[in-house]
Amino acid sequence: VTVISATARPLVVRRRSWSVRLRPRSVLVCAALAAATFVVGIWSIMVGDFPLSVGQVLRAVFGDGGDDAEFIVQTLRLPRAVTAVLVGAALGMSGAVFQSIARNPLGSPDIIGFESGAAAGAVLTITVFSGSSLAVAGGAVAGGLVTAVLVYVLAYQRGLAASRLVLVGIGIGFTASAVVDYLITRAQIQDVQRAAVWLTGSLNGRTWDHVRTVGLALLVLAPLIVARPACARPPGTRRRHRTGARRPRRAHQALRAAARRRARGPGRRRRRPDRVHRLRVGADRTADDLVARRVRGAGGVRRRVPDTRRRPGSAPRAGPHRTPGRHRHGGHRRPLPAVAAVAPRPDRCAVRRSAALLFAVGLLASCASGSGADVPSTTRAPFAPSSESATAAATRHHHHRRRIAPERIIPLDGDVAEIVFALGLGDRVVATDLSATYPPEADALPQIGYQRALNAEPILEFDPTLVIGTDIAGPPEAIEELERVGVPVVIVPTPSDATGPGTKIRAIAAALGVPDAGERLATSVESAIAAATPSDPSNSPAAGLRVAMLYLRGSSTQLLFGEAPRSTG
Amino acid sequence: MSDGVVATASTRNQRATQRSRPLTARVTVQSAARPAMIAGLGAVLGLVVLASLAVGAKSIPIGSVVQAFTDFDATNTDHLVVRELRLPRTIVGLLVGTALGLGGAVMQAVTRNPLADPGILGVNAGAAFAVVLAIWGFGVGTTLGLVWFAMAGAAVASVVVYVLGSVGRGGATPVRLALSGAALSSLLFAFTRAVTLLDEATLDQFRFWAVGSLAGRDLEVVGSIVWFIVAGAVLAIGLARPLNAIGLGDDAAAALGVKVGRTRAVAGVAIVLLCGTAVAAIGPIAFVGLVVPHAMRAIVGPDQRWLMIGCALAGPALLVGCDTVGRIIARPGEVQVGIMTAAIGGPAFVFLVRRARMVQL
Repeated sequence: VTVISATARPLVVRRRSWSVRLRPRSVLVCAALAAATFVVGIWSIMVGDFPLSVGQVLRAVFGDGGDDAEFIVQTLRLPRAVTAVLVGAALGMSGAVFQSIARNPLGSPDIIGFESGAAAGAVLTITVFSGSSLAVAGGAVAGGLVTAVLVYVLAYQRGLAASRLVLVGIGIGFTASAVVDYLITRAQIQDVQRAAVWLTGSLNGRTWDHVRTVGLALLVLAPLIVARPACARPPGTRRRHRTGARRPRRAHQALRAAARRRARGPGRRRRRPDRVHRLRVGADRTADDLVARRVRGAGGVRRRVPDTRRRPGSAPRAGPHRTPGRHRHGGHRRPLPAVAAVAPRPDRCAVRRSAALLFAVGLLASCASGSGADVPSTTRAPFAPSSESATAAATRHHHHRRRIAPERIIPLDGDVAEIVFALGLGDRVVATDLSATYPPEADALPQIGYQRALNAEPILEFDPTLVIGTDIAGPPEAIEELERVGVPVVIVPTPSDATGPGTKIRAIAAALGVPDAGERLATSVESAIAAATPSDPSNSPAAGLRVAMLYLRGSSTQLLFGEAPRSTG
Repeated sequence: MSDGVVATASTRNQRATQRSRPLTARVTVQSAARPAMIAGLGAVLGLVVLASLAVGAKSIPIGSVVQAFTDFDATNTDHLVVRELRLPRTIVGLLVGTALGLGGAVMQAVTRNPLADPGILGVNAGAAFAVVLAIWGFGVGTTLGLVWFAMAGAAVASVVVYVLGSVGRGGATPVRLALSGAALSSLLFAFTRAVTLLDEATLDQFRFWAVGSLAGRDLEVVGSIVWFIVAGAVLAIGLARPLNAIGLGDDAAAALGVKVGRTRAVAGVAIVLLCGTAVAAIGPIAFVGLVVPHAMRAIVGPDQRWLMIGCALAGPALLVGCDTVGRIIARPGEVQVGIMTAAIGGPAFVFLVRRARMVQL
């Protein structure tokens, strides 16, 4: 290894078959960023409900830190931190590639639909198939891949133009997000919540499996990205050629023709045609003035850079990024005036390669999102959380009393539907909402929408003679519209305590004109509740137990620390 | 200067002269075709409005639809459905579609970025966060109540974006505005997500607002949004000429006598009025504002005066048309208009991209 030049500008290290060009600034910035990442990573492992010192963290990482610290670091926090670093790297790289290809500083990988596609796959898995967290990750990757293929196929039209790729990506991306929205509005709220957590993105509960998935993807795809200078650089056809990207054949042929014409032109120094031939940077391995080799660049970043060595007898090169026009006669190499004139048509090879790269990046992004956020499948909470606000409940208690049971009933939510069926009037129900899943007959009826997002017209389609719901039913506009059109609407009260079920049943039975059946049902439900309530808690067999009631919902890993009570052994 | 440069320059001049003739010809053809295009768009819009009144989840014979306007009977359910349900939502759809189309056109012109959509100034994120706060903190449940919160949120967010984008040297350049808008949007969406994850009931209500829907809008909503949209539309159309000049670059625009800073500020006001009102009325629908101006540029050309008219016709046609299809595609239920615009508009946009020569990014 010989150091050729060590000025303030790039440091060039050259051997026979390869060379490295180190810019002090790049080296410095990359080193600083790597150090910062390391420090933040250590810090993220230190803090939490169980704080650790720097020493403890380092000892625990290398397997010598005591059981507690080792468990917390190696099982919980280290995989989480490493996943975060890898996912961040994947997203950052894909964003950089995308902004270069789209030549738009507002570009981000999600705009061309990979993320929407991955989200559609994940939400589909969650809401339709109630998949496990592994299945959700698989769904996300599959969704991203399908979207990528679709975008590629639809954007291909006698070659690929970058702008068409982006625009088609936007169209497909919006369609995919429409799928997400559709699924979200048609699903049960528990699934929606799981999907919402996934869509938000969470690092909670990452394990070494996630690290392996993302790490493998990065290991395969990251070298592909950084080895392609066309994308690792600010764009511009000219500079891309100068930096060693392979020139598309047609532009190259045109260039050669142009050079031949110019070589014949009057008053010009005669130039051999193969002079231009040599401009095929990176492909020409003999021309010593334009050698480009794969090099390992600063900060471990692999780049292919032109290695412009001075030609004998020419002026020294001024700077690495001068515009070609400025040193037309600088001597070390001809600028590429013809490129600008000839090459503006979409240079297919470059774009196709960029596109292939983009899909690699898309895959990376969907891998990242596939393992970046998912939720362990939880069992449904057996009780619905009380969700109505007290003010809304107080304002809307119209309580119609009817003597005769109506012929065509539409219950607006699942509870009401269940009660109407329990009262024996199931055969008069003509339609139910999305939340009516029990009994199965209620589930099988035509749907009018979801209790919180009702529309008047679909309800009117069934010509109901009674619409009955609780104060969750909404939006208020839809209820108002029903009343304006003259359909009887009954809203029953729902106190959220132990008296709630009885009150609700009696009110519904009264509205349906079957108060006696309602009284019987309400009494039996109330007696069942009473039987389950112990009269004297101190006599109950559970008196000596210490009970922790855990309402675990969502994705977070919950940790419980404590000792077993000594008295019980 | 060497002779080579002179030769190149003269060749370029020659080429330019050679090319100028077909260019002029194409422009002439286009300008002759423009009124026809606009008339066609108007006809499409008319048909869409008629379909929106005649078609819905409840099947009503076409005779009853006509009777509902000529011979209204307040006891006839069919008449009531047409007059009370379908007419208001059609009017809201027309207004909001116009607002979104024009807002997108102004946004893309003023940022000189064909990928800009109204959401970039933080309008959507601000409105969404305000709506979540209203549902969660204040228990607001009615559309009319949410309208004011959404408007306030959109206005506050866009003012913050403008201030953030214009501090420091250089003032408010399009790129700085876009970047500060993107940053604030991310922040506000994070807050929105946080609230919806904290509270299930809010998520349950918000998920339907966030999709965007025309259902349940009555004439009261029309009354509260119409003046904002009219004001925004007047500003937008008045800006067409200065925006044409700005399309040449800030320096060229200034040389042509356009006050660039003032034009941008007025455009910002127009965007907040148009998009803020639209988001407030029916929820965030990004697609229309992004795609309609883009598609119109391929059809009527880049002249802002024609582009604005085209967007003002195509925006409502897309929105009302998609709403109508959404009402009948999943009978007896409905598919929200926000889903339908993307589900129908997405493939249509891809088709257009493949057919027409789109403006380069």
